[in-house]
Amino acid sequence: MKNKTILVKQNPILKVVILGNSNVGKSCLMNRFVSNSFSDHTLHTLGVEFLQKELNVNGIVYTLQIWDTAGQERFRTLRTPFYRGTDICLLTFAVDDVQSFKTVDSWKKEFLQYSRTTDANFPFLVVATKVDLENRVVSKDEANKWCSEYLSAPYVETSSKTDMNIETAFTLAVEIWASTERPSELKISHTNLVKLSRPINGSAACPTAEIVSPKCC
Amino acid sequence: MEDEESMWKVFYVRLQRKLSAQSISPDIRAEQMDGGFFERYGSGFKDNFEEDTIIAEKDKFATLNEREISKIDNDIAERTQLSYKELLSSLLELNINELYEEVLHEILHCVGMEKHCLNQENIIEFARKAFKIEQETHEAIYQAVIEKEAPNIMLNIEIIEGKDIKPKDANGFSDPFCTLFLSSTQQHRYNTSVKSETLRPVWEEHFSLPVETPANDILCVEVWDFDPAETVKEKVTKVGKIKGFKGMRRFMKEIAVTATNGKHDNEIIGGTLIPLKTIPSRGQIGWYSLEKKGKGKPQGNLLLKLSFGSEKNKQVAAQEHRHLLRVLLAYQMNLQKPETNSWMGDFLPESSLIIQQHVVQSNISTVDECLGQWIEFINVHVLSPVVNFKVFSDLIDSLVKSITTGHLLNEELKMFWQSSKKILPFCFNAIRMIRKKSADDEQSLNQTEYVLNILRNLASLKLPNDLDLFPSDVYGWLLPCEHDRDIQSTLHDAVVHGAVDWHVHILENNKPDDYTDEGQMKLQLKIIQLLKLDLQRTLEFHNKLFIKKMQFPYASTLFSIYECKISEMCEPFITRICMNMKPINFEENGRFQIENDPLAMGTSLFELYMGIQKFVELGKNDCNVDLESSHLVKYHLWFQQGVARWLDIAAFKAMQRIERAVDLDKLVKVDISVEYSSSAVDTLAIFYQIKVFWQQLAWPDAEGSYSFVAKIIDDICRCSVYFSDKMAYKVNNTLVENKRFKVTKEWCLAVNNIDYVKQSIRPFVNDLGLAQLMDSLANFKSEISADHCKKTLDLVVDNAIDTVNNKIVDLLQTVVNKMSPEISKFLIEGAEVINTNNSHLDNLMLYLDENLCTLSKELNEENFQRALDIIVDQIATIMYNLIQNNLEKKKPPSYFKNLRDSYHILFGFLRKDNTTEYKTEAIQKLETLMHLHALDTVDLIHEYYLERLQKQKEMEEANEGVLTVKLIFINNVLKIDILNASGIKAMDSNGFSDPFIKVRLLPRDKFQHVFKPTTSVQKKTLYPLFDESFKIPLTPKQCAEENGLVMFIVKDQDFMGMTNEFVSETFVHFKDIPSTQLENDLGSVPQVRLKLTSPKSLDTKILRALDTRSTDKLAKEFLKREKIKVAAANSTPKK
Ligand SMILES: Nc1nc2c(ncn2[C@@H]2O[C@H](COP(=O)(O)OP(=O)(O)OP(=O)(O)O)[C@@H](O)[C@H]2O)c(=O)[nH]1
Ligand SMILES: [Mg+2]
Repeated sequence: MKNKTILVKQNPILKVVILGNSNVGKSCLMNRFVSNSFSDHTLHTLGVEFLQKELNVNGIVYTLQIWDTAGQERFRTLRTPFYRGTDICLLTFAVDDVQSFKTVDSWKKEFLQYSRTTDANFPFLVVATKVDLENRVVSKDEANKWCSEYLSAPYVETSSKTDMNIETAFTLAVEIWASTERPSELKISHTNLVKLSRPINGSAACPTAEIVSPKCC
Repeated sequence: MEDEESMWKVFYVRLQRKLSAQSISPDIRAEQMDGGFFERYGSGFKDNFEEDTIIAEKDKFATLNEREISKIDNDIAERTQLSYKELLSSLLELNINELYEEVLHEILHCVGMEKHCLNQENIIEFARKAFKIEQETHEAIYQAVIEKEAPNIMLNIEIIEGKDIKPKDANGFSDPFCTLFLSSTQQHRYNTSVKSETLRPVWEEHFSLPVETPANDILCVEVWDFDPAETVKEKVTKVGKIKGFKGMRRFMKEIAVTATNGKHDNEIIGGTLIPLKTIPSRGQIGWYSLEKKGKGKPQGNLLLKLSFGSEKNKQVAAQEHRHLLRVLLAYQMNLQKPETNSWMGDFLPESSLIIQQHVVQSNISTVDECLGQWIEFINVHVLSPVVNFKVFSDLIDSLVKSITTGHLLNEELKMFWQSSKKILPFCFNAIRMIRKKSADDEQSLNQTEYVLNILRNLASLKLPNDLDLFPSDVYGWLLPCEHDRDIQSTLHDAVVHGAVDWHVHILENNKPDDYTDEGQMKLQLKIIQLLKLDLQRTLEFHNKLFIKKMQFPYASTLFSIYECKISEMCEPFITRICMNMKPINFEENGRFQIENDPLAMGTSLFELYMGIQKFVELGKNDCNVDLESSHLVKYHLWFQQGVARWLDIAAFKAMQRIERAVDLDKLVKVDISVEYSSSAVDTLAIFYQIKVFWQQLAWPDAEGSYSFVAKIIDDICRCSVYFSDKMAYKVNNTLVENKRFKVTKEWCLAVNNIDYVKQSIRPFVNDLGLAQLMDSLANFKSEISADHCKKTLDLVVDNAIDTVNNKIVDLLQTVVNKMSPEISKFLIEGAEVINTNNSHLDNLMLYLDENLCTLSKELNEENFQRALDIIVDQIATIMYNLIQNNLEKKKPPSYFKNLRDSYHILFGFLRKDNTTEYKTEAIQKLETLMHLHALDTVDLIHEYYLERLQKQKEMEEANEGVLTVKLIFINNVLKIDILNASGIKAMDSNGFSDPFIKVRLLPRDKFQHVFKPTTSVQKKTLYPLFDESFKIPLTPKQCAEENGLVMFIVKDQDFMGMTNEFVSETFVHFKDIPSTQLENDLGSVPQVRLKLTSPKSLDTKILRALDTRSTDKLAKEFLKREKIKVAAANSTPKK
């Protein structure tokens, strides 16, 4: 056998969706998190983009499958089909853009409508972006207050430019997920997906007989 | 892997085979549960789409009711305010009796050969009827006509050219000229000019000879060779004095006159006699041969044009001619009553003769004749549209020539346009009504071509400013127009009007009877298809004509109108339908339910989509329409929401069906040649249908395609995983919990099924057209965007494949887990027997072999290797646990040795053809453990020292001090120089130590009787200087000790010199010591600085392993010593 497939560690997989107005910095958020890079000039996302990354949260290594969506209105019908099966939803807004803050609620509604989730405690996390900017117009207190009182969702401030709180935000998201009580899930669920990474440069990795069980158990 | 093409092919054949096989079985098939959801969109949809009820509609189309058409033509007649009666009354206006008299006169004096072919009396009777002249009146008129003088008839002759003229002169040529005269009046002779030295003279000269008795007279034409007499010669000598061309002509004439007067030596070449009665009244052109008395052979040929004419006033004659045409037409039409557009311009023979005589005797020119026909035929047509457009088309062809060359008087031009104005509505109506006849009828196609030719001719002329060519009462259908009306713009309007009418007609004939959305969609599709049909018909038949004749883009004009109508009709409706498509709702039991099942509607919706798509393609490919400016360019966006919903629903339907397919699967191969069972085929069938659905959609916009494809791939991934889960669940439940687990074929089949589905993922994705998609993204967006998208899709696909691979591994693991109890049983029992040849191991191998046989037979190579890996791993884990358990039982090293041997045998057996040694974590752990516990205590202790040396080398800082020494082997002597130590630990309360060094060689048992040097004690210092040198003689074998070590122990001499305390130690490996044969080489021995260390803990693998050997004295003592060292190392200096 030439191409030996090597058995490797299988992590629990979480599907994360990032929503928010166009230009708030969703793609930057994802790229900073996944590839630790940032660009001042980005292109609008077409529909969706997908990346994945492993993240150790409290000793468990999760594989986060991140779907970055297009914020532009014309992509509405093209992005919504991807909401279904999401585990965590990040609602983003930019602190220099009041409008993006005001629409956070409608993003949440859009998500709930199209993900058709029946889970009343679905884990949302509100992520403020671009806090490095001077001309900030949404204050931390205001945002924090509104999130807890109105959305009852946790709130975190980030900057992809300065790499502030980026990993923290995702870690927080996973923690929220882990602490959320879920009703016994639907049978058709992706959460018992497991991930088998390819061995990098053919170097052998070590197997464990660890099998990931569906999250509902 | 098979290439995709053949993969799908093979798959499809199997699917078919399976389907036919299943049709016998009474089982409910997976696809029946949802009413063939996918089949409707997939292949079934594709095949049935074209065969629509549209054929029936085509017939309807062809015979768009005649009532409507004739109504329209009648409308024109009414609007032009003319009727047959009025034609008659218009005849009364002119003096019909006078015209009749003229006609009778012409019949009586009939010119040309017709006279002898026709019965004069019959013609007169015909004329009388046509003119509706009472018998009495006729008699009177006839009498008058007889008394009237014969008309002044002229014979018009053109002498065109001659050929094959006999040569008469010495030079081989002649100098021919012609002389012509009538036999009745020979004295009136006419001559042509002389053409010198030629046998092919060209004259092209015209003559008009008055004819007295056309019935009997004969035309004589003679050709002469000019041979001037003296007198003529004299004249010829004057040639030099003649100036200019005219002068020359005159001069030549004079010569000719001289010649004809007889005073010449001219010689006749030949002549021809033409009786006038042989000349048709219409005239003729022909070659006449030249005869000469006494010569049998012709003397040459002469081309002559002969016709009759008169000297009537041109305009009077033309008008008379028109009236005559009108009378005869009225008579003929009344007699024949031709069908619509069927009259080809042929007159009755009698009419024809009368007309011809009029042409000749009244000297009507061709232009006047044409114009007269144009005017009078149009008059007839207006009354009843019987004239074929070819007639008009031919007429206008010659008229336009005359008009452009200025042959028409203003008066005539005016009449021309007035008539043209009357015929134009017929032309445009023909265009508007182009659909009334089936287009493939050649005749009607020709009619269209003639109509267009008429329009083309008229459009080529300058339109008159003083005539309203397009009066609004006739052209009610004209669209508002800013600039001046012309033929082209009116044609455009006619086309538009025809198309709009047609659209209305279609709508009227397809009124909704079913007001549901479904019914509406079907109806809209039908309407679109009918419009498309019209467009296709146009492309097939008319478009080329319109472009060729009028440079008019007919098809694209139609397309623009229809696409506008279609988007008006469809856009709001479709958008609403798509927005209202209900998403899936979940129920408590994990099943899902669709409110108001939108799927029934789905089929019609996508048929509608395809209908529009085909229409758009027709426009794009065949009509050369620039779609960017059309309403339909974004038609797909109306459906976008619908497609998204459909995909969502399809994903869940697919899972539902997969579940069912797995339930129904009997876990037998569908075919002996394959390795999978029915549910894998069913699952692939679903993928196939989704793929076909997508391919059919042929989504036109790259952005949308990308997102949808991403969604489809993600869904396919989820379906594959779902299938794996269901398959694993099913097969795990079939495993009977008996005593001795055996791998079954069914179980292997489950793995193969999952593998088969997995293998289909990549070809499936390729079939979705990713390559083209990326190209168009790169074109319309940017390379970077395309790259991002490609990365995303690749990642999703990789993920899908990885995930399904993991499922396979899971399943393999499950089975190996089931095998575990049996394996551990054999291993546990086998280890107890201190003999590797025990039967337990054999039994274990037999058990493994049995299962591996099944696995290797049923699984593919890749999965078999995976299974092997897992088994090996599992055995390692079992043995590891076994060892751990037995350590507590303080088993002797021999027990572990026994285990280790079993392990090697087993692994040798499992990996017999595996060259690349590959070790998992479990195996590595096991191997270390076995290694330690199987070692004898002496070896284990040395292993400990080696480990210490390793740690010493890895130390970064020497925080317990450094010992500087020189070491060298000289022949069989180890020479050691202990130079100094620095920074050693303070052991005494005064902050100093009293250090000395002991040297030991290890392993101890190999160096039992060698010299063990010790240095002197250095007092109260942490930086002792020793500078002592030792020589340790060794045997060659000792020198060559593979893992030999030199150990330096730093000790602190205590106050009493009784119990020396351990401070620290350091090790040097033999292989790090240089060796030489030369005694005097010592100066160059390098100093080595050895880091001093001390053991910090007893909790290392080796010490723990030693600790288990409680009955072993050596181990116990060693441990005791090490314990003291650890204690010392961790202690603080004494008070
Ligand atoms: N100063 C600053 N600029 C940022 C930050 N994050 C993103 N940007 C800038 O914001 C712009 C938009 O970022 P994107 O990540 O492309 O926005 P998006 O939300 O993905 O937009 P869509 O794809 O259209 O939905 C880019 O010019 C980024 O450089 C940040 O943390 N600080
Ligand atoms: Mg983006």
